[in-house]
Formats: sequence, C-alpha cells, structure tokens
Amino acid sequence: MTKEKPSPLKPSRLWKAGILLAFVVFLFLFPRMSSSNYIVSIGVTFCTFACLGVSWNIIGGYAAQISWCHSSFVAIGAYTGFLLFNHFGISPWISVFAGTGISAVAALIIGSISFRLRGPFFSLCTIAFAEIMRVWLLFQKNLTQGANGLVITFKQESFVNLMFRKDDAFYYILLVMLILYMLISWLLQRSRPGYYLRAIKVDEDAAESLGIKTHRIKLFAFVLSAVMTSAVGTIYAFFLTYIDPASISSMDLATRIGTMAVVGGAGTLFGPMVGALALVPLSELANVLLGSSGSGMLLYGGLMIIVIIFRRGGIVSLFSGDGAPVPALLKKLRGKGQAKNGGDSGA
Amino acid sequence: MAAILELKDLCKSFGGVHAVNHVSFKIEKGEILGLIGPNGSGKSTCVNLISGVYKADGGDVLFEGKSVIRTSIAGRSRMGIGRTFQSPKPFTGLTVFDSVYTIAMQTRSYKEASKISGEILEQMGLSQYEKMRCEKLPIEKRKWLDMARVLVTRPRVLLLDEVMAGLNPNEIDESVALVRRVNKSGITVLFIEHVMKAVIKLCSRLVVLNDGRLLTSGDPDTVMNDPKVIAAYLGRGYHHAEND
Amino acid sequence: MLAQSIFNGLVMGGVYALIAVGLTIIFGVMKVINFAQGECLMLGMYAAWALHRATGLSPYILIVPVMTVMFLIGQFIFSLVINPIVGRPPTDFVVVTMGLAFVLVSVIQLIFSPTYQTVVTTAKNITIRLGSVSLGTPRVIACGVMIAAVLAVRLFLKKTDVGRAMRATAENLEVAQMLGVNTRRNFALAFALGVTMAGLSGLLLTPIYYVFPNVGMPFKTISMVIVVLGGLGSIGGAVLGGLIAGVVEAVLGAYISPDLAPAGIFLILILVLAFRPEGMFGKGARKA
Repeated sequence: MTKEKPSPLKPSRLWKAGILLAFVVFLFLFPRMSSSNYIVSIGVTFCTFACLGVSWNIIGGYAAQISWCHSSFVAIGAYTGFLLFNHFGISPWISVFAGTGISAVAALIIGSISFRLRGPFFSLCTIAFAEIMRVWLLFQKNLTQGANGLVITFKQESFVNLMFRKDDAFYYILLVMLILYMLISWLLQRSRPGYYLRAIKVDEDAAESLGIKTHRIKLFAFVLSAVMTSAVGTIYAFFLTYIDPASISSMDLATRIGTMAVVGGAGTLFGPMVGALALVPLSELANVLLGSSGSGMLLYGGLMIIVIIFRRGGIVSLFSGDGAPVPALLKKLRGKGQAKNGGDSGA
Repeated sequence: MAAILELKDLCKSFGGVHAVNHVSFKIEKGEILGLIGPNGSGKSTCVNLISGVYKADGGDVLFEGKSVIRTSIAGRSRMGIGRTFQSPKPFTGLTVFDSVYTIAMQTRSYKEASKISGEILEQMGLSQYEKMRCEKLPIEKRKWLDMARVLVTRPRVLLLDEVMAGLNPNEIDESVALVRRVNKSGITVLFIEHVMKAVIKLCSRLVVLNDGRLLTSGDPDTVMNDPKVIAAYLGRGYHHAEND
Repeated sequence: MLAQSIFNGLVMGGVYALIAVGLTIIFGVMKVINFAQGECLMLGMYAAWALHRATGLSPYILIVPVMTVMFLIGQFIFSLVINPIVGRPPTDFVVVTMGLAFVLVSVIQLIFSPTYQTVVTTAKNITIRLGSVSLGTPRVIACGVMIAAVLAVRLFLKKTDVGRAMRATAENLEVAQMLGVNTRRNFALAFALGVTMAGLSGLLLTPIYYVFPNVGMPFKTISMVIVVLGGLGSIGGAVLGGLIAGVVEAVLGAYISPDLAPAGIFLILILVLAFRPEGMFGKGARKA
C-alpha cells in the first residue's frame, strides 16, 4: 500500500537534474549554434511565451482560476514602456516597474471583485476587463495612437534603452527572466501560498473551513501573475519595436498564453515551459506550411481541446505518469518533485 | 461551567423550507454535547451555520460570548471553531501528509508544522499512509484524515458531523475512544451522530432536533425515554452502524 | 435625440438579449459558461448567408432551416467536445469552450476566407417612424423575433415534459438523477438550444452587419456581461440585462463616443459585481 515511494530514487533524481542542466546549457548556447537571426528570434519568442506561460500558470494553473486578460497585462507593460520612453526618454528598465505597478492595481481590482464569487465569474470578469482595456487603448488616440499603434525608432545600440542590432541580447535577457520566473514558481510551490493554492484548487469549502483565507490567497496569486506578465510585456515590446491593440491586447494573445500552460501541464512547474517548447516551433511551422491566416489559432484552440479531453495533465503528465500507464523508460525519469506537483490531474 | 458556544434563535430556510427554525442551545465548555434527530431535521444545517458555510437568515451565534455571525468561514476557524464535513473532503492530489501539513503551517513554522503533522497522523493511526495520495486512502480512513486536519488548527470547539457513519462496530469503539481522547485534551465537542451506541457512550447531554426545531434537551437517559423523541423517531428505529 | 438613442438601444438590446438567453439556458442547466457563444452566433450568420446565397431567399424566411442547422451543430459540438468533459471541474469547460471558439473562427476562415460578406434584404431600406424616432426595420424585426423566441423557450420549459426535466436538472442535479432523469440528454438539449439561440441572433443580425469570421467576439463579451448583470441562469434577467446593455451602449455611443460604448457596459458589470454580486435581478446568494 505504501510502496508508492519506497525511498528518494537517486538515479531518477540524478537523471532529472542532468537533463535539466543539459537543457539549460543548450538554451545558453542556442544563439551560438545558428547565424540566422530568424532562428534566434524564434528563441526570443520561446523565452517570452515560456515566461508568460509560467506567469499565467500561477493563477490559471496553481489556483485553477482561468484568466483571459493576461494580454491586457502584457499591453499595460508594453504601452507604459513605450510611452515613458517616447515622451520622457525613460529607460525600460525603470518603466518596467511602472508597468508592473499599474498591472498590480488592475489585478487587485478585478480580483477583489470577482473572487468574492465562485464559479465562472473570474473568467467572465477577465474577459470584460480585456475588452475594456482594448477599447480604451483604441479610444485614447492622443496617447496611444489608437489602432495605428506605437513605434520606437532605433537610435543606437544601448543596453539601458534595450536597443540592439541583433536579437541575441533580447534572447539572453528573456532567458535570464525565464530562469528567474521558474525560480519564483518553484519557491511559490514550496511555500505557504503554494500549499494553500493546491488545497483551494481541489476543495475551496474545506480549505476555508480549515482557516485558509481563500480570497486573499487567490488575490495574491493573481497580482503576482499580473506583475510577472507585465514585466515580460515591457521587454518583449522593445524587442518588437511596434505595438498595437490588435496584436498585444487581443483575446488571441490571451488564449495563446493560456494554451502554453494548458498544453504543457497546468499547475506544474515545468508545464508552461514545455508547452512553449512544443507550441512556439509548431506554430512557426504551421505558419510556414498553411500561411499565417488562422492556422495558428486553429492549432492553439485544437490542442487546448484535445489536451483537456484526453490528457488534462498536459505533456508533463506523460512523464510523471499521473493516472495512465507510462512506458518503462519514461518511468525512470519520474522524480520526486514531479510526483508532488503533478497533483492537477485529480478530478 | 461557562458556555463556549451559544446558538440564539437561529433561522435558515432554503426556498421556503425551514431547515433550521428558531433554534437556541448552548454548548458548555469541556463537554461532549450530542446533537441528534431524524434525517433532515437540520443537524448539518446547524453545523454549517455555526462554521459559517451558510449565512443565517436570522439569529446569532456566540463563541465565547462574542457574536461571530459576521465573521468569515476562515475567521471562525481561526478563532477556534473546527469542523468536519458529513462526507469527507480530501485534498485530492495532495499526499495525506501534505494535506495536514498545509493546514498546520498556517500558524506554525515549516519545521514545527512538519513535526506536528507527523504526530497527529500517528495519533490517528495514519502514519503508514503518509505518502499516499488522499484520494487513494480507504474510505473509512478519510474521516480520520479530516479529523487530523482540523485538529492541527487547535480548535477550542470541534463540530463532528457524522464521523462514525459507515464504520463497523470495532471501528466505532476505536472512534469513541478517539473522540474521548480529543475531548480530554481540552476540546469541547459538538457530536452529530446517528450511531446511538456512540452517542450514549460519549455524550453528557443531548439536544434533539426535529423538522428544524428544537424538540428537547437534557441528559441522555431522560432524552432517550422522552415520548416526544420516540415519536419523532417512530418507525425509523434507532439507527445502527449497519444500516447507515 | 435621447429618445432616438434609447429606442435604438432597446432594439439592439433585443438581439443582445437573445444571445444572452442562449448563454443563460446553458448555464442554468449545466452550470457552465459557453465561451464559444459568440462564435456560435457567427456560425448562425454564415448559415444564413450560405442559405441565402444558395436559395436567394430573404433570411427571415430561412429562420426555421437555419435554426434546425444550428440545433444539429449544437448537438454535434456537444457530443464531440462537451460530452467527454461532463462532470469535470468547471475550469475544463472554460478552457475547452474557449479553444472551441478559436477552432470555429479558424475553420470558417479557412473555408470562407476572412473577407466580409453581406446579405441584402429589402427590409434594410425601410425605416419605421414613431413620432420623432425612426427605427431600421431589421432591428425591429430582430427585437420582435427575440420576444417570440424567449416566450417560446419559457413555454417549452414550463409546459412540456422535456422542459420540466430540464428544469429539474437545473434545479438539483443529484435529485434529478435519482428521479431517473437522463441528465446527459438534458445537457445536450440545453447546449444545443443555447447554440440555436445564438445562431438565431446571428441570422437576425445578417441584414445589418457584415458577415466575417471574427464577428462574434464583441457579441460574446457583451452577452457574458448581460448574463452576469441579469443573474446567471435567469431568463428574465438576461432579457432585462440585454435591454439595459443596449440602451447604455446606444446612449454612450451617441453622447460620448461609439468607440467607448462597449467599455461603458463592462464598467457597469464591474460595478454590479462589486455592489450586487448576485446580479441585478438575481435571487440571492450564489456562493459555492
């Protein structure tokens, strides 16, 4: 009965650590492997979406509150960065904090209203907020140029102003952010809020009647998630150099962010990153093969449905072996950490 | 003895049905008070009103003399009102240990929480299941896990909602001993149960509900021989472990 | 001018109400939100447009065939993607129906291309005058059909055995199951009915709106606001919420800016949730 975990399996933990290390080394060497700026830009996209997925996962995965307004936090970060830079010449490294501050306040407002109710209210409110945000960005033409969007023009190579001739620099900045975000996620999982979130996720009534302040914990998770998303938004916008409401504040982007975590494995540490690793190259491929109109969203939408119906633990659950037979070789990779945080697949 | 918990004129109705209709009674500090009554008489509703899961339509709940009617569910738990649920609510996906640990860490350092979780699980005889996922725990052990979880919140009064339903006679004896131990450690118990054997063994006083109203209260012998109580249960017989 | 705006809002609100009624029927029975409701409206528009192109008939004559098609599509979607996740945590529905929304848009885009299509009717050129107020005929017809459809749904739920079984399912799932009600069939029925309502709204919109793959999005968000305003699961609430949303949008559009009108509606939602979370016409606590 208690054979589930006989002892900390040293070989498998070693395996896991080894794979992780090799992967990190690979990520650091990646831009050196190809001289093509296009390949590096895909790397940047991967890092961005992995970061966004990890951020989304904190509210959408750990807390199981599905948010469709993460694109709005990206937009807040992006527009704050561009506006402060264009009007006052403020470095994005400083405006990042302004953006995260605004996002935190926005998340606090949406969260404190919608978490008072259970069920789908949170998701509904996030959609409403995303629409308000998009409409407002279109409306404030003096500030945001409406549908035309905002541009920053390249002046000279500068780390302070996030202007680089090649995408390598963006890649490394976002990679460091990704590692930082994974670390935050890992720490959260092992700390009080992480434990509370897992309890709230499966049984809010029980958690609450045992003293857990569910409203407050969910709010914390949402604000943290929004702040992290907004910071990525600022940096990513400087990589893009052009932003407009249709791309950066759209439901498409919001869904895309959620898909990373869902497909990879919502509520797990590595899920969102694995999701980005699978989806970013796949959607590039789909764009090349099918043309960019609609094929990407078909892929995201379709995968989201398929994963939830057939394997709601996502790709990672193939390795942690939750609730389904696992090939012997994969079983070896099963580590303690994954077994612990694979708890999302229970219904 | 002073009242630790007092229900004052409590009312709750669902869509016109009065589940709890002007019910008042007191729970004295240190006692085990039995709350009994036929199915649907409002016992669980009372528990949900005391713990805050339902909002009362009228009346008041006093905990150690102070009204808690406006306090949140979590707040009441933190004040010292602990409860279990009629059907166990395991934290699916978490291990047995982690589900106790999660609750224990609210008021303790991680290290202390880990220590106390181990101790409580041992007391409950769940040590061997520590690493098992909650939902894989045998049904009869889940109530014990619920109990372990609530005990680490250090409740001053514990509301036990049918913890013995579905147990065999042996297990009932063990549970009775357990509840008695819990009570001896200084925790006042409100004991809601259909298993009369356990009620009679444990409770110093009984409160009987019928159709959402307080029928009578007093010491077990008097109550059980009260014609009104027998009439309320008429045709049902006393519930025993086997048929519940 | 104010009277004109209010009347414009009321007739547009009628269409909103119809989409929201579909949403609220699905929620009432299944306790989940269909995040693809706007895309179902889009499918209804395309169904009307395609049948109109094929037969040359006015969309108003095509109401019955389009509704039949939409009902079948609803049944098909249910058995394909909704049925497998019945009984799962509600977040699964949120994700799956959102995924569905994107699949539907992409599929339509791949089949019909993203170009804007139009349906021409003679009704469009006729306006109805009421004193100083003039109203476009298609909007008035839409409002009338909405009232008829809502009354029909109410009648169906109240008077027929199937409708009563659906209400029992909505009221208490476990009790309904114990009484031998086939809850899964009721889920399918409710879902298909909700989709049909969305499709009907789509058809009614074809004379006044362009038909294109992404047309559903604004209607989806507005209908979600409406059901929350009206109290989830309440048909009467959805109708009233729809009318209010229509009026707010029209008045804001006329006096401030048409661009900002939707934002006003969402702001109302947030205010309502903040001060009266059970919805303006909700019955009471809706926790847990």
